Amino acid sequence: MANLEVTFCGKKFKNPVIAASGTFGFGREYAEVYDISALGGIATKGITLKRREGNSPPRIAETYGGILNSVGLQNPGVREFLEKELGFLKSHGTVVIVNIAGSTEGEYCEMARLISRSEADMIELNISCPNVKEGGLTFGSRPESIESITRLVKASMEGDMPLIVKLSPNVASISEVAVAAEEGGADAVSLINTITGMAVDVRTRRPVLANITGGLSGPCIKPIALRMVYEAYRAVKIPIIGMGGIMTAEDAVEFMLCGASLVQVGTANLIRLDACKRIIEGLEKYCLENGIKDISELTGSLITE
Amino acid sequence: MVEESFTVMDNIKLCEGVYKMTLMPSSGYAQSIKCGQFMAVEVPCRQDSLLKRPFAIYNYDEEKRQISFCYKVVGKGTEHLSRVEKGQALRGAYPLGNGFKIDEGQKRVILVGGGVGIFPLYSVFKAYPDKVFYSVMGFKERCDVILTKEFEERSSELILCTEDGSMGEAGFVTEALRRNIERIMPDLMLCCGPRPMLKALKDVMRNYPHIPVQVSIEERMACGIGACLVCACAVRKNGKVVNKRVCRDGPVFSLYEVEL
Ligand SMILES: Cc1cc2nc3c(=O)[nH]c(=O)nc-3n(C[C@H](O)[C@H](O)[C@H](O)COP(=O)(O)OP(=O)(O)OC[C@H]3O[C@@H](n4cnc5c(N)ncnc54)[C@H](O)[C@@H]3O)c2cc1C
Ligand SMILES: Cc1cc2nc3c(=O)[nH]c(=O)nc-3n(C[C@H](O)[C@H](O)[C@H](O)COP(=O)(O)O)c2cc1C
Ligand code: FES
Repeated sequence: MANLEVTFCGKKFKNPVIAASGTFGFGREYAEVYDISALGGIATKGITLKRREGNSPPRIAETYGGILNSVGLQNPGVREFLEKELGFLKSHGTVVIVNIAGSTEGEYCEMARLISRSEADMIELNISCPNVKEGGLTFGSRPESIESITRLVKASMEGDMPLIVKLSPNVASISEVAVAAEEGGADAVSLINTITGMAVDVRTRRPVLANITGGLSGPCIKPIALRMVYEAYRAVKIPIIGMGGIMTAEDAVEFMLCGASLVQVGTANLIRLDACKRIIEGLEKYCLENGIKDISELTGSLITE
Repeated sequence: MVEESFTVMDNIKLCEGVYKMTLMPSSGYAQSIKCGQFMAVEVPCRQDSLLKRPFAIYNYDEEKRQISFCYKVVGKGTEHLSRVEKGQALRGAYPLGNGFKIDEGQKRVILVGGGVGIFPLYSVFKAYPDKVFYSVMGFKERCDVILTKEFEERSSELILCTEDGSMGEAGFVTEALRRNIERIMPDLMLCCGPRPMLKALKDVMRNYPHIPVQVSIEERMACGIGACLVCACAVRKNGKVVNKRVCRDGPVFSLYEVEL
């Protein structure tokens, strides 16, 4: 038996597979389909300080090899999340990562403070949501603002809960933004969030999404995501969670070879409800077949010469 | 709710561009299904149609363990499904959503369907054999008219209309309803159809606010189980508008509550 366990920022993950933010809700629905305690971790739907209703539908469009979404951070707000959802997530013995998004620095800090006092395991700072006008990406596109928001959030957290900064691919240089997060005091970075895109309906001459633009995810973004994880790995010392288009265990291994210690699986859950579970099983098989005793051996072991 | 593989038992043409597909779960285990629930079917081998397509469960046969749905070809996914052959395997998730619910005291039930909107309504006959049903079905023209025999057999009255008058009463289904509702005076209305029809229906029903109306709503979906929040439908409750999930909180809502 290969060891799939990964220790990441002091937290023990049963395996390197985390369900990605926004595709897994708060775990309740998937728990009806399979035993979600099999997962390494779960990243929650993006939480904001106050309840948000999100954007108007249609919120989803399909493109070749991917999907565009413009949900716009619909969520019940941080207090209701802590009261009604966190306990359920925690009861499954999997690492709970709370994904947060604010429209001001103050909102980010207040949420981080509240969550750092809770039984959640980690915070993932979403400064890269392309689907809300205020905040989101405006914090995540410039290195100076990334460093400053990371530092402020880190300072407002109580205890020693690790902080992950989720990076946007919609930037000029991914290494620069990864370094900015590291300098701001992030314990880890996760990448990539969705790539801003759009889809057009030629019959109606209208954009498919009511929001006009949306975030592209799924297999079509994998080459970009891999390249970005590869570049970030060479730029920072803090560990990396890689994601973007992971559909199979082989895809997950590719991210680990490029430098990811853990991976997140998003869109694949929407296509096959048990995608995460199948990827975990596939990783076990890959390790056995390739004589890998400890899956962490893979991280950054890409041969380039 | 499960996601599994199905064997295609049949995929027959009902009229030009409309098909009925019958599936059998390969696990051999049939889930219990409520009327008005739907299933989400994977489009096989299409890189431009990664997401499952939602279709109302038209009929289910517990003994034979077979489920069927009817669909209209409107785009690439349904076009591809129409070419699927008997014996092929398809993946899908079912049963999804809340479904229609008829209370004990509601005896006279009117079904109002526009075009492909008639499909989700059919399953209520079997689920509630003791009720008295009236069906009002509307289509664009004669060649679109389908399943009237199936509805007629199970309804005490069927009102058929076509927009161009080529079969049945002429005009919109909602106008036929307006002409007949006082006479029928149902305890409950169940309906499904395109948005403009639902808007017109809301207008007709303004005069009969005591008749509850359940409507099955369509919205583009991804997960189909309530986790991704892409299938939002604005619903007004106690004066406040909130976004509900069509796939989980719906697809059936009160017509008076949905913001169309
Ligand atoms: C709960 C529910 C039950 C449904 N039941 C039936 C049914 O019994 N029979 C039937 O023929 N159709 C039904 N539909 C609609 C059906 O899902 C769409 O027609 C189908 O997904 C289109 O797929 P496509 O790949 O052919 O179209 P695409 O190429 O994806 O799109 C073509 C057109 O179809 C429309 N469309 C796409 N997805 C949806 C969707 N999820 N809902 C509504 N419209 C959509 C779009 O407006 C677009 O213009 C139902 C939808 C929902 C949400
Ligand atoms: C429907 C949907 C909703 C999402 N919501 C969020 C969110 O709330 N917060 C966030 O940080 N990322 C969100 N994402 C982005 C994913 O977490 C992930 O970064 C991205 O989809 C790339 O991975 P994938 O290709 O495996 O999906 C969302 C993605 C999708 C498809
Ligand atoms: S389709 Fe995912 S929540 Fe409805």
